[in-house]
Amino acid sequence: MRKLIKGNEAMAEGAVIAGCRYYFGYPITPQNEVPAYMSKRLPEVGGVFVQAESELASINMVYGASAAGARVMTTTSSPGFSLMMEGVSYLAASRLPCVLANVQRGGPGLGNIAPAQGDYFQAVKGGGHGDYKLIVLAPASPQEMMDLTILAFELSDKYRVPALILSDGIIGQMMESVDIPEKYVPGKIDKPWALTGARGRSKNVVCSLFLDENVMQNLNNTLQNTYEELKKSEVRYESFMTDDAETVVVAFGTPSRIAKNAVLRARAEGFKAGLLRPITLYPFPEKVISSLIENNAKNFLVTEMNSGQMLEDVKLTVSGRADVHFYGTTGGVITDEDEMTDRIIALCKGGSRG
Amino acid sequence: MTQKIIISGFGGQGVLSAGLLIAESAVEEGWNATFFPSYGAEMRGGTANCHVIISDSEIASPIIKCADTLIALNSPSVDKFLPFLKNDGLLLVNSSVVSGNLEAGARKVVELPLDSLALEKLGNSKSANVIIIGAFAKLTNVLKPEKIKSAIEKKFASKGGKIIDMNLRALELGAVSV
Repeated sequence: MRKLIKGNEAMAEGAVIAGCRYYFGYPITPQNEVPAYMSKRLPEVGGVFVQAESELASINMVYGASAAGARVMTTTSSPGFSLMMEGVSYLAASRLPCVLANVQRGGPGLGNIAPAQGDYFQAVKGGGHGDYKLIVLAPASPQEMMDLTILAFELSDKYRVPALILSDGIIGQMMESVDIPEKYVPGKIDKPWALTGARGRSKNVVCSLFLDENVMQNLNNTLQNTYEELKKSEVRYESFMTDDAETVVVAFGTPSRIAKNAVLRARAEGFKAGLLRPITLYPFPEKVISSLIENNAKNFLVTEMNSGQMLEDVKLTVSGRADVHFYGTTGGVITDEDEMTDRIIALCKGGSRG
Repeated sequence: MTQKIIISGFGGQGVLSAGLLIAESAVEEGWNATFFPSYGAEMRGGTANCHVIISDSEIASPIIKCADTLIALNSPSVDKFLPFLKNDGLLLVNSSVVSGNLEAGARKVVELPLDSLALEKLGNSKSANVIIIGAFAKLTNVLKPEKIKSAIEKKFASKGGKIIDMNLRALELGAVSV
């Protein structure tokens, strides 16, 4: 079925399709359509919606439902996600699958309700305390709000790593046509670790407190090995006109939509421009960047609605093998298509590095 | 073909419903459409607005910097969004509410007294926003009337035949008024 719906609603329905029956959340713009939708939809499918008293409560309710083996979700926006950080670290340490979403707004601080991407570091480098990562997916349309939410539930259950949908106010608020899958069967993944009642079996313990440092180190090793598995098997990205591109824009979410038009405009003037859109921000698509350099790419133009965060991951990957440039807007200001086009063309005219 | 439309007015004038109806009609047509509402705090008497883009190709940003059409249902909307209307764009104005000189330059200006038209011809001012869609469709020729009609029938299916009929008459009234 094809339907014109908001990104936030597409994300919520995606969760329902993926078999999520527990949602706990606290209101914050620009993601309020998610709890509004869930409060109506989950009771229809036998699920549970709770408006928690705070973000701290929400994330700890997620911990409880996940420990019991359920598919569970919470969503929020930037300041709310900061409030959840302690709980997110506990979820990661306890290896509890769940799906979180941050529909980012302008920051830092209370900021504003305009779209932004200032929470990239917080999303992909861990965010809370300790040595952990999340699976981070970056939708660029209402369709992907749905599809990547479904994927997030599957990946999170498979790897026992919390998954985060890192979206922004535009993708959350905009409406676009979405193909809604009608016959999706959620993955059946055994959870022998879950707290389901210990009658007839030895008891399970879900916790993140390990006073023996060797035991704690073993857990850390398990986490790191899991992240290596993710890097091997779960990297996702979209390449647009990159085959012969000399200048490659790297962008995710809203700026990637704008970049597509800028690339087309540069192409129309005969310049070899392309776009790489990471869909998984963690694991980051490193290999494709290397192959672009081996191919033809001389310049990378990282474009974000922040002051240069994914820029650092691109620089680490490029490692001096090509030039890396940056165009950013902050505070909720949206990427300007004319300016991006000008910058792409200027880089193309500049030719190879001097 | 890409048509970028900004619709703005008081909260309660049906600004968001009108934008959504245009987007839904475009989807009926098999085109791509994006709809982006103002979701912040809009003042009473201010400029609730939405950006609608309809296109036969992929749509980049749903935010409009340079509109083909501005539908302004009150005066603050003219002041705020005229700078975002391209120089040869179409300005559709609700002249029941907007008064004074419109400094629209070379743009095509069409003024319709929506509130009095709706009251006199339809007996109720609720569907003023649909009158202007009828006018928009007639003037721009980008949406076929039957597609808008089928979007209206779907949109108001749960509200019954009377409401559908009133909106279809409003659509027709808009088309014959320009």
